[in-house]
Amino acid sequence: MSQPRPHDVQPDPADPVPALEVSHVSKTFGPAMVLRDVNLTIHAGEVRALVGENGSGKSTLVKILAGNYTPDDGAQISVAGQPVRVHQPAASDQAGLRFVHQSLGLIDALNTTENLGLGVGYSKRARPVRWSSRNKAARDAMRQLGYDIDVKKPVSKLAASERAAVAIARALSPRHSRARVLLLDEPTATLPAAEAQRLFALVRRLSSDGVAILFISHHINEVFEIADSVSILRDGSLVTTRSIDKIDEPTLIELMLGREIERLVPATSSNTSPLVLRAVDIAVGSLRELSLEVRAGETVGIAGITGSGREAVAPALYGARGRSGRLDVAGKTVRAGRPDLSIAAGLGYIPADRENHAAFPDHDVAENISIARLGDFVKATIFRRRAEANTAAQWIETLDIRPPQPRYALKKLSGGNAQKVILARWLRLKPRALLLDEPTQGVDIGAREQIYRMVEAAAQDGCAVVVCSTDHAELARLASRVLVLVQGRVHAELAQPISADEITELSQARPKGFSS
Amino acid sequence: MTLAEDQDAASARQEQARSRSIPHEVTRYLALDRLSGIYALGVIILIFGIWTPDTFLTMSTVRTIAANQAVTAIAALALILPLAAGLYDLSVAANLGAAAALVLYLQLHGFSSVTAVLITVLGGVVVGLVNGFVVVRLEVNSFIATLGMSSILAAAAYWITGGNQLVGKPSAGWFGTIGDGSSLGVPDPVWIAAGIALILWYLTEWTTVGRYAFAIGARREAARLAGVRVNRIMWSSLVCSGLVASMAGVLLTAELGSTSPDLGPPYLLPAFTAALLGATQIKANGRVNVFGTLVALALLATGIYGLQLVGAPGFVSDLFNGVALIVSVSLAVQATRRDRRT
Repeated sequence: MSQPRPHDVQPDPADPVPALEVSHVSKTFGPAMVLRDVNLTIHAGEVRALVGENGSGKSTLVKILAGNYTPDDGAQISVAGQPVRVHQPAASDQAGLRFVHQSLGLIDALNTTENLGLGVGYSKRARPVRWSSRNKAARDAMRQLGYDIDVKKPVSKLAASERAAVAIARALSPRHSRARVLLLDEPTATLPAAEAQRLFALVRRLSSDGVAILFISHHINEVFEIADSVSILRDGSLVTTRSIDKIDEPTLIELMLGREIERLVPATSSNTSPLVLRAVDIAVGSLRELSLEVRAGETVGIAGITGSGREAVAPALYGARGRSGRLDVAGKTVRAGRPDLSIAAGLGYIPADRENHAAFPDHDVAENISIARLGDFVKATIFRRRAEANTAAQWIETLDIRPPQPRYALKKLSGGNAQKVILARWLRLKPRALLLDEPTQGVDIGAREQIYRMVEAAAQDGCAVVVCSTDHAELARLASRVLVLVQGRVHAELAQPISADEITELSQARPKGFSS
Repeated sequence: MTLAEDQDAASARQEQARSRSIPHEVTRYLALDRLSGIYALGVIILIFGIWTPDTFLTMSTVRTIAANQAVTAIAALALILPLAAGLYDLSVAANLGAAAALVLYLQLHGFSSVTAVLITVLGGVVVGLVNGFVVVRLEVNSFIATLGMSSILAAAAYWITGGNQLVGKPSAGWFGTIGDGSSLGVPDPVWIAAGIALILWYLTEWTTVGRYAFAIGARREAARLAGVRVNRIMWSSLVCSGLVASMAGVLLTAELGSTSPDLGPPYLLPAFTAALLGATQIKANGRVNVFGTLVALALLATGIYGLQLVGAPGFVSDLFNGVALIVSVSLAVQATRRDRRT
C-alpha cells in the first residue's frame, strides 16, 4: 500500500494561490468518524477526480464543502486564498464554490431561460420580466459553454448532456461572485457514451477558462479520460492524490479498495434442479439485454454500477412496467405491466425504494404483510382481521420483527424491521422466485444478517432468488453466481467462490470496444 | 453512501410528500382524539340545552335533525370509497342535483315511479363510469375530472328542468311516502341512510375491496406493485359514489315533492366536511370511515340547528361548515409540521 503523497501534484507556479484549499477536515457522527483529517488542494484550471467506494466519505466531504454539514473543529477551507465560513451554504456559494448534483435540480417543465433564472431571480422589485433580453442572455450563456440550443424549449425535451450543461450554466452564472470551483457529482451516471463525450468537452473548456473542477465518479475509465489528477478516499481518509499520468487503473482500484485484487476466472454454475425463471432478451431503460436462467434453490446476484442496467433488472423481471423480452416462470410466460399476474405466477419482488414502492407507512404491520393476497383471510364473504393478525404474528416471530405487534404502524418500525415486514409479505406467499433489489439498503447490521438467513432458507426450500445489489459483499455472501452488468449488458459471470472485490473490479470494466 | 444516493433519498422524500394525497394527510393528522367529536357533540347539546331547553331538548329536535340530514349523510357516505382510494369526487353534489331533477321529470312525463328511480340511479352509475374513465384511462387528476363533471351535471339539471321549478308529486303513492313516511317512529329517509351506511361500512371494513382502496389511498404505486388491481378499484369507487349520490338525489326529491335545477351544489361542502372530519373520529388510524362520518355530521348539524333555534340567520350553516373544514385542515397542517420536525 502506498503512503499518502499529497504533494505529488505540483502547484502551478504562475498561480500560486490554489482555487480550493481544504485542510484538516474531519467529521464525526456520534461514535463514527466518517472523515479523518482530509487535506485537498486544487488549482485553477485543474480537473481533479475524487474517487472512493460507497461509504468512503465522498458525500460527507461534498456536504461539508457545500456548507450543509459542519466539520469538526480545526477544519479550514479557503477558496482562492479567502477563508470560507464553513457550515453556511450561502457563504460557500458566495466564495465561488458551485455544485452540480447528479439529479441536476432542473425543473423539467420550464425552459432553459427559466431554469437559469431560478436561484438568481428575474428582476428587482415587481417589474415585469423582460423575456427577450433574458432569452438572449441565456442563449449567450449556453453558447459560452459550447451549446447552441433552443433556450425556449422545456428542458425535458433537451438531450441528457444539454440538460447537464444547463445545470452547469446555472451553477456558473455570476450571481454575486465569480465561480472558482465547480463540483460535479457523478454527472455522467445517466448519460449515454456519446453524450458523456460532449460533457467532457465542456469540462475541458471550463478548465481552460480557469475554473477548478472537482469531479466525482464511479466510472474509473472516465477518471482517466478527463482528470488531470485524482484523489482517493478510503474509509474517511484521503489515501493519496496523484497526477493522472503517474497512476494506472489497477493501482487506482487497489488504492481505492485498500487491498490487491486477485483475478479469478469467470465460471458458470451447473445445476440439475428444475428451471424456475427463464428470461430472454429482457430490456428496459438502461438495461439493454439480459437473458438469464435461474433454477430452484439457486441465488443469482446482479452487480453493476448505477447506469449499468443493474437498477432496472429486478423491476423488469417482475414486470413492474412494460418491457421488451420474454419471461417464463415454471414454463409459463408472464405478461409485463401486471404485477397481480406476476404474483399469481409465483413471483415476489422487494423494490429498492421501500418507502415509495413497497411500504404503507400508516398501515399496520399485519396489513403490510397481508396486502399481496388478501383472499386468504376471507371466509363467508367477510374479511377476518383476526386471522390476518394471527398469520402476521407468526411471521413477526419467524423474522423477529420488533416490536412484536401485528397492529403497530409500519412507520414506527426501524428500517431493518420494516424491510423484514416487506420480506414477510412475500415469504407468506411461498413464491417460486424472489426478486430482491437492494434488499438491505438502510438496514442495520443485525437485521441484515436475519434477512440473509431468511433468503437462504427460502432458497433451500426451492425458491429461485435474484439479488440485485450495489453491496458487493452482500452478493458474495448470498449468490451462487453473480452477473456483472456493464453498459446494459452482462459483462462477466462469476461463480463461487466470489469475492466482493472481484465484483467491484469487474463492475468498473470498460465495455468491449470502448477506447479512450 | 454517495451524495447521489443522499440526493435520491431527499428527492424521494419530497416526491413522497407531494404525492401523499390530501385526504390521507387530513385523516392521518387530525386523529388528535378519536372520540373528540362525540365529546364536542355532548358540549353542544349541553350549551343549547341550557340556553333554550324548551325548544332544543325535545324529540322533535332529534327527528328534525335526522330527517334533514339523511340526504347530506348519503352524499357524505358516497365520498367514503373514493376518499379511501385517495380520490376526490367533487361531482357527488351536482350528481345529486341532476338525479333530483331527472327523477321527477321522468315521472311527470309518463314513467312509473319505479322506472324513473331505476333510470335515475342508472344515470348515477353512468356518471361514475365516465368519471372512472377520465381518472383511470385518461389519467386526469380526480379533482379536475370531477370538477368538470360537476359543471356538466349542473348544466344537465338546468336542461332537464328547463331552468324552472318542477312541482307535482306523482300520483303513484310510494314515491311520496318514502319522503315523508316513517317506520317504528323513525323517518323513512333515516332508514334509507342507515341502510346505505351499513352497506358501506361492510364494504370498507369487512371486505378486501375496502382494504385495497385504503392501500391505494396510502401509496398507489406500492399498492400496484403489491398486486392490487389499482385501476379496477379506483374505477369501482367512483361508480359507487355516482350510484350513491344519485340515490341521495332521488331521496331529496321524494322528501321535497318538487325539484329545481340548483338543489345539488349546496350539498358539496357539508358532505366533504363530514367525511373529512369523520376521518378523525372513531378509528385511531385516521382513515375515512362510516361511523366517524355520521358522528361528524351529527356534530355539525346539531351545532347549526342549535344556532338557528336561538335566532341565528340562515347563512349560519354555510359559515359553520366552512369554519369547521378550515379548522380541521389547519390542525392537520400544524400536526404535519410537528411530525416533520421530529
